[in-house]
Amino acid sequence: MDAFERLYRLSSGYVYAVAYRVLGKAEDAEEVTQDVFMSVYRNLGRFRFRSAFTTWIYRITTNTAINLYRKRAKERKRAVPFNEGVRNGLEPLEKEIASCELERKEKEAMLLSLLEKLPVKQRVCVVLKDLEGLKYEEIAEVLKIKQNTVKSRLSRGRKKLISLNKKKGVNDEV
Amino acid sequence: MMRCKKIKELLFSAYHDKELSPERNREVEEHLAGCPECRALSEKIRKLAIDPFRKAKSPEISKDIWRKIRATIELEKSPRLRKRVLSNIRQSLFNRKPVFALATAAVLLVVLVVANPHRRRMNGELFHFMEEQFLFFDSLAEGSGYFHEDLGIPGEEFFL
Repeated sequence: MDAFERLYRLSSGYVYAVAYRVLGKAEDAEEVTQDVFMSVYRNLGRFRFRSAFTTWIYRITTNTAINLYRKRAKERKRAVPFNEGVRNGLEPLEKEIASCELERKEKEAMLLSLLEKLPVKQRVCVVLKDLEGLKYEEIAEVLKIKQNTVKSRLSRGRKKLISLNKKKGVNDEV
Repeated sequence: MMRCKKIKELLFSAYHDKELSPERNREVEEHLAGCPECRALSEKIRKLAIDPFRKAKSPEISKDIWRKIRATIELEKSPRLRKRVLSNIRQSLFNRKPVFALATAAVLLVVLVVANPHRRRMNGELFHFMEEQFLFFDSLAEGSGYFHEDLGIPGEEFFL
C-alpha cells in the first residue's frame, strides 16, 4: 500500500460523507470524492503545511461539493418541474426521531430531507459541525469565513429546521 | 443574570456546540434551571436540529471509487499509455486511411460533375450555339437554307 492509498483510506470516509450530506445523492458524492482525491494527488506538492492537512482536504471537499451543488441546481432549473427530493415536506420530527423502529436507510433519508431544506451555506456549516464534529475555528478555516459567520449560519439553519417542523405540525393538525 | 433573549440566541449555537467559556456556560445552565420556557426551547433545539445529525452514522463508501481514482492516476502517470490513448483518439477523429480518402474524393467528383445543374445548363447553351454556327457555315458554303425568312430587298440592292 503506497502513501497515497494510505491517505485515501484515512480520509475518504469523511470526504464522501460531507459530499453525500451536502449533495444528497450517492453518485454525486462519488464524483466529488474522485475529484477531491485527484486534486489532492495533483496538488500534494503545493501543500505548505500552513493549515492542518485535514482542513485542507475539507476545504477542497466543500468547494468541490458546493460547485457541483450549484451545477445541479442550474440543471434542475432547466429541467422543471423541480424535484422535491427524498421526501416531500417534513414529518413531525419528534415522533420520528423518538421511534427506534426507523431503519437506517429511513433515518438517512430523513437526515437528507432535513439538510435539503437548508440553503447550501448553512447546510455545509451544519454538516461540518454536527456530522463531522469540527470546531467553529476549524469550520472558519475550512470555509475561509469568520467564526461569527459560522455561528450565525448554524443558528439560522437550526431556527429554520425548527420553524419548518412547527409549520408541518400545524398543517398536520389542520 | 442574562435575559431570555440573549440565552435563546446562545442556545441556537454556542451553548449546544460547546463553544462557550466555562463562566458563560455556567450562566446559561443556571438560567435554564430557573426558566422553563428557555429549558423547553433548549430541549427542542437538541431534539430537532442537533441530535438527528450528531447521532447519524457515516454513509458507506463504495470500493469502486478507489479503483477509478487508481485507474485515472495510472493513466496520468504513464506517458506511453496516455500518448497511445491520445493518438488513438486523434487517429479516429482525423486520420482516414488513403483508400477511403481516395474513394470519397472520387465519389464527390462524380457527383459534382454529373449532378451539377449549372454545368448541365451550360452544356445545353453551348450545344445550341455550336449547332447555329454549323448551320450558318453550311448556309455560307451551300448558299441556301440558313435564313429561311424572306428579308425583302437583298443587301446589295439596298445599298445601291
